Amino acid sequence: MAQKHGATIVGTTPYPLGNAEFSAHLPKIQAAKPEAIYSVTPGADNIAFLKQYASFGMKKTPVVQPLHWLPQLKEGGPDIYDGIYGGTNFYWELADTIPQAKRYNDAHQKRFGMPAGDYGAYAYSGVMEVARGIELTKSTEPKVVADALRASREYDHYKGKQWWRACDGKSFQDMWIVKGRQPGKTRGDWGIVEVVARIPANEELDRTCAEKGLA
Amino acid sequence: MFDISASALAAQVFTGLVLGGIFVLLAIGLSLIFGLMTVVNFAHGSLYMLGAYFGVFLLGLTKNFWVSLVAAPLMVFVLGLVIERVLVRPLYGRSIDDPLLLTFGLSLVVVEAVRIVWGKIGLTIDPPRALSGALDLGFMTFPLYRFFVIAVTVLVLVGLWLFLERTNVGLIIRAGSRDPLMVRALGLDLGRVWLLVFGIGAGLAGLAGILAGPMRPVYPEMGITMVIESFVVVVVGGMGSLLGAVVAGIIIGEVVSLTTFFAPKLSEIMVFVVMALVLLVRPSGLFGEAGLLE
Amino acid sequence: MIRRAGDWIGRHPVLAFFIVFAIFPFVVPYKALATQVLIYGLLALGFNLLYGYTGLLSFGHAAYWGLGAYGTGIALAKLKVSSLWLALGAGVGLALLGGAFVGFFALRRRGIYFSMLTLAFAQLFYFVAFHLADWTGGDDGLRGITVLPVRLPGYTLSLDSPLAFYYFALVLVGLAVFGLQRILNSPFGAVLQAIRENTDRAVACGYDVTKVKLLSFVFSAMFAGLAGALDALRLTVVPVESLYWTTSGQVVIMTLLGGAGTFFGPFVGAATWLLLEDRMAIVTESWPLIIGAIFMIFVLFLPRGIWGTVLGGFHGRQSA
Repeated sequence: MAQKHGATIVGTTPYPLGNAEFSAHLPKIQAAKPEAIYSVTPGADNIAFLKQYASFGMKKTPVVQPLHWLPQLKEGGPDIYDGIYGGTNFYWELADTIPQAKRYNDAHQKRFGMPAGDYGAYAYSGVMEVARGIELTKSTEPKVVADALRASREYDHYKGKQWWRACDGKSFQDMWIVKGRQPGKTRGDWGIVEVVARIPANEELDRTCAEKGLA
Repeated sequence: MFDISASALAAQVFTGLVLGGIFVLLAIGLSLIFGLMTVVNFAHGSLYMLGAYFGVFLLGLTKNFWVSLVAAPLMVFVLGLVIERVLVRPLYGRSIDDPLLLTFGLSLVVVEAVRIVWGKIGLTIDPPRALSGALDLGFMTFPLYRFFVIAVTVLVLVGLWLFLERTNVGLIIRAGSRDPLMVRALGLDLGRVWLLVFGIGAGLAGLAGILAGPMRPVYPEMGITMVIESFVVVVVGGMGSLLGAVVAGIIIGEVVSLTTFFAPKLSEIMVFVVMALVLLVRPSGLFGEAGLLE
Repeated sequence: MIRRAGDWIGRHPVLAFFIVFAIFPFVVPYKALATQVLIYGLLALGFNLLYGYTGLLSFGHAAYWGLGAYGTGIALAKLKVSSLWLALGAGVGLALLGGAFVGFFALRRRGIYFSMLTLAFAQLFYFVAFHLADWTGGDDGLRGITVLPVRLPGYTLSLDSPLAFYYFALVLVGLAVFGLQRILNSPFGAVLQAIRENTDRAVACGYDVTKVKLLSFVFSAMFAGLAGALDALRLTVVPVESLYWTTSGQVVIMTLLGGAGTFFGPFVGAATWLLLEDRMAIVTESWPLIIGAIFMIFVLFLPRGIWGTVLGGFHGRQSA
C-alpha cells in the first residue's frame, strides 16, 4: 500500500496495546530518520506516545495517525495534538459545510450534549443501514436483509454518498484529513483539530478487488 | 532494516538507563512494604494511579506543580496509613496470603471509584515550564523532565537509605523485618512501625504516580500492569534491598530498550525471561537474602 | 434435616454434583448462564486444588485456562483436527505443559513470592499469545473455531443446541469432579493437605514435598485447561484477554467467595459471581466496585466463604 502511493517505509517498531512507555522506541525512530511517522497507537497509548514524542524533541517530524477519537482529542488537549495529522471518517466541524452532517451532529449534540465523534458516526451509520435493509425487505432475516443491501449498494446516512463494494462488502466513503490546531486557536472544548483536506471516496486508493484476489 | 550506528546504540543504551531509573521509582514503594512487612501490596498500582489523580486535582486547585508534587504523595501517604490501620492490620497473624487478597480487592474498588469520581476518560498533567524542554546530548535529544525524575529517584533512595540505616526508627524497622518476635519481646511497638512503613510505601507509589503524569496519560487503569512490572524488579533485585532494586531496575530498563531496538516484539517477553533466569541461578534475587521472608 | 442432607452430600459429592447440575439450567434465568457456571466452576475447582487443598495461592491461573482455550481453538481452527476429543486433548495437554513449566520455576519460591511469580509467568504467556498472531489471532482473538460433533463408538451427538452443549460439558466437568474426589481421597491427597497445614512437618515426615507440589500444580493446571478448552467451544472464539491477569483475579475471587478448601465452594462461588454480575450489570456499570467490596468483606470476616460458612453452620468443621 505504501509503495502504491509513492512512500517508502524506512522502519517499523511494533509495540503491544495498552503500553504507556514509548521511550525505548523513540531513539530507534530518530535513528531511522523518517520524513513522517505513521503512528497506530489507539486510546490512552496515543496520548502517551504523543507526549513522549514531543518531549524527546521530535516535533519537527510530523506524525500521521489513522483516526482521531473525539473524547481522546479533548483528553489530550491542544498542546499534545498541535500539528498532528489524522485521517477520519467524520469530524463534527463538517456540519459547517455538509447538510447531512449538520443534521446528524445537531441531533447528537441535542441528545448527548457533545458533538458527534468518529466511532459514534460509524455505529450510527451501521445501525441506520441495517434499518434501511429491514425497511426495504420488511424482513428481519439476516440473510434477506444482507442480500437486499447487496442489491442496493448506495446509501447516505450522515455525511454524503457511500457504497458497498461488491467483491468484499467494504464501505467506500469520503474521508478527511484533519490537523491539530495551535494551542489558543482551538474552537471550544471539542474543536482541537481542523479539517485540511477531503479525500473523495475512491476504490483505486484502496487495494482493488483484483489486488485482493477477489475479482 | 536499521543501520546500527554507534550513536543510535548509544541513544538506546542511554534511554534504557533512564527508563531503568523510572522502573526503580515505581518499584521502591512495593519493595519497601514487601521487604519489611512480608506484605505484597497489590493496591500499589492503584495508589500510583491515585497519586497521579490527586496531582491533577491539586494542580487544578493550586496551579502549582511543585506544591502538588509534595502534597499528592502526602495524601496517598495518609490514605496508606488508613488502609494499614483499618484493612491490613486485622490480617496480621493470619495466612500470609490474606493481605495480598485483600489489597487485590481494594485495587478493584479504588479503580472503579476513580472511574466514578473522575470519569473513564483520561486526564493529563503538563510538566512545569522549567522542565518541559529537551536537552541536546550530541547523540540524541532527551527530555529534561526525565532527568528530573531520575534526580528525584536518587534523592528518594538516599533519603530512604539514611532513614533505614541512620535513624532509630529505621533500626527498629530493620530489626522487625528479621525477627518481629524478638523486637516485641524487647517491648517495642511494631504496630506503629508497620503503620509507618505501609504509609511510606503508599506515599512512594503516589510520588511515582504524579511524577509519571507528565510522561504518561493519567487514566483509571494506569496502575494495573505497573504492579507486575514493579514486582519483576523486586524479584530480580531481591526483596527489601534498595541496591537490588536499583541494579534490577537498570537491568530491566536496558533489556526493554535493547530488545525494542533489535526485536521489538520480544521486549516484554525478554523481561520475564530475565526474571526466570535470575530465579534459576539465584532464587532469592541478585541482592536478596535467602529465606528471609517466606 | 439439613444436617443429614449435608452428611449425605459429604458422602456422595459426585452424585450430588450431578443431581444439582442436571436441573440447574432450568433454575437460572437463562441456559447460557448455567453453562458458564459449570465452566468457571471447573476453573475454580482447579484453582482450589492448589490453593484450598495444597495452600499455594496462584495468581496466574489465566495461563492454564488460556492455554487450554488456545490449544483446543488452534487444533480446531488452524490444524483442522477431525475429532473433538483430539482438540480437547490438545487444550488439556498444552495446559499440562504450561503448568509443568511455570510450576518448575514458581515452586522454587514459597509464599507471596510464589503467588506473584505465577502472575508474572501468566503475563508472559499473554504477551507471547499477543505476538504469535499467526497462531493465536493476536489482539483480534482466535476466530473460526468450528465445534465438531461428539463422536463415540456407534453414536454421534451434535453440540449445536445450547442444552446439548451444556450436558456435554456437564459430563466432562462431572468426570473432573470425580477425578478431584479420587485425588483428594488418595494418600497423595492426604499429603497435599499435610503440606497446606505445615509444610516443614511434611518435609520432616519424609515426603518429597517439591514433587508433590509440582504434581498438584500440574493437576490444577489440567483442570483449568479443560475449563478453558470448554470455554473455547462455548464462545467459538478465544479472546487474548483469556490469558490476561484479570481472569486470574476472577478465579481467585470466585473460589474465595464460594469457600476455598471446600469441595463445592468453587461452584458456589462461580454461580454467585456470575448471577450477581448478570443482575448487577443491569443496574450499574460499577460492578467491579461491588464485587471488590464484597470480596474484601469476605477476606476480612468470612474467610471460609459461603459454602464453608454454611457447612460450618451444621458441622462445626468443613468436610464436604
